[in-house]
Amino acid sequence: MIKTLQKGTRNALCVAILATLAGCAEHQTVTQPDTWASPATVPQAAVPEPTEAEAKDLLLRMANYLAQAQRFTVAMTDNYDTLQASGQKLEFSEKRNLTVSRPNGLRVELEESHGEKHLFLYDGKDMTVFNPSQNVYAQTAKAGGIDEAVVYLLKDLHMRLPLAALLLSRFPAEIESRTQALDYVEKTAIHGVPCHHLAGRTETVDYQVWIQEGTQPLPLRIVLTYKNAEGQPQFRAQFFDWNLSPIVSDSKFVFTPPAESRKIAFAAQVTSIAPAAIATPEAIGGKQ
Amino acid sequence: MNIKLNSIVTAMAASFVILAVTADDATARGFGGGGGGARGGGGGASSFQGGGFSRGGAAASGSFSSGAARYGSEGGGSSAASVASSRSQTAQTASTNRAATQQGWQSTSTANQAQRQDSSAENQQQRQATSSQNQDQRQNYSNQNVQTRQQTAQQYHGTYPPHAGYYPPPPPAGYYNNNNNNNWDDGEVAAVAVGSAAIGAVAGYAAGQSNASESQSAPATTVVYTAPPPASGGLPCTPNTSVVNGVTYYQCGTSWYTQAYGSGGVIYMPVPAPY
Repeated sequence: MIKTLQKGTRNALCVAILATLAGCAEHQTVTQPDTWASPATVPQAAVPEPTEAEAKDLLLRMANYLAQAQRFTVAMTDNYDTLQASGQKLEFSEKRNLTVSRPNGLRVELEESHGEKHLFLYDGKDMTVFNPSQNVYAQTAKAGGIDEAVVYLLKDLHMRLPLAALLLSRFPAEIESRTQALDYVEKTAIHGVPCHHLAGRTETVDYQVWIQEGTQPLPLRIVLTYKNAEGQPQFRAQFFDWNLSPIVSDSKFVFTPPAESRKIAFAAQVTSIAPAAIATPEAIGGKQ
Repeated sequence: MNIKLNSIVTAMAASFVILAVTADDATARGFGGGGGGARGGGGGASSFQGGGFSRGGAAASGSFSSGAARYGSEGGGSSAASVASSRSQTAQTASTNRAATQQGWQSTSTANQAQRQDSSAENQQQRQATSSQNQDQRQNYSNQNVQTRQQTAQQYHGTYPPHAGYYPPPPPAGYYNNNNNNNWDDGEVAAVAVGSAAIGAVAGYAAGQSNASESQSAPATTVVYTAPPPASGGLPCTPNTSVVNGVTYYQCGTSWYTQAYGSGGVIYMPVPAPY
């Protein structure tokens, strides 16, 4: 009886262990990021990994490559953590299509995870943000090129343009002046594309960047960690479909207001336009 | 008997497997009890019609720098004084360490590593030392902020703009007067809730040229309504609409609003009466 019991117990436990292991294996498959390289694509660590000086060289090669590109298009998906009042951390995502034509053309098409879309255009004279679902846009004049426009957009208008520094022609100087430490993490691959994984630290943000290996040192992925912010939230971006020789016409950067669209102010400008608006009413409507 | 016992053991084992899997799933999905489900109150926003989740915060900016620490370290209202003092010291220390590290980054790799290790150890000690102090101070700060917010909210309908000291604290004087343009992108994205009709709070700043010192004028803190699909959906009433100098205004009682494009999208902002 004991023998039989042991055999039965053994069989049952074997079933349990196998099933549990199968479950664990499945769980691992689910949680493993799909951007990591498969073992077959990971370059073998036969050669010594680059030093910190070489890491800096890789970083600046990437930055210079982007800064010197006269035109490019790229698709970007990103997700970021937000800390709720309850203490719960949530992740939101969005998709962007960026078109850059130096020195004056910038177009950013954005779709947020809840479906809201926005279009940002800069043509060297005006910058415009358009919301198609509400058919409203804000526009302001800004001469000086992409660098000036991007800085004005963030610094003065307090608008949002993630990874805006990558769009600037002075990106190499920006990243170099902010970086306090830089490490070469590993040679890896993303979606089968061999790349260098670097980790840098600025005063307020720890960043990681995966740079494509070879003659086109493009960023494939960037992760930012806001180390001083509560909950240390992260911003994670993946880049797809880099094209450094796109055919783009100037009209792509010019905003033509759609029919029935309405111009509104940038929120940062409301405090300055409101007093000016204290004037004779042109029209007073009724209840909507 | 053997069969019975075997059946029991098999059943127990199967139960174990099922429990292991379901418990894992439950944890992964956040159904583990206790925690989740706290909807509303997005990023400090109070729910107006059920509320939503905040999409704002430091990481939403996607910037290579963040003002999250600088706000605290450089002041921002009397209620932040104690925090400012403590963080200022930390900032000075960090600055010293930074200088050392920066220098190190530009020199040899070996020297860098040594400096970083020293810097890291020092920083860790300093962080541990300041952490508990900061926590106490943050709690005080938080309580004071709640009181300030409540007072400001009560006073808001009577006066415009609301008083300084509202959350988040306004940037200190000179904050945007950074001639070397470093950290031009460190603005935190305002915590505007997802969905319609949530009342949030953002600081509104007078717009100016990038290098103009006028842009340092004291920011007016405002209450903002996230934009709903219909014009009236995000406002506390079905508004009267006026167009003044080409600008559409929405009136709810004695309060006036206008639509504007902010970092979180199209929002309603309270404004002075246009006439």
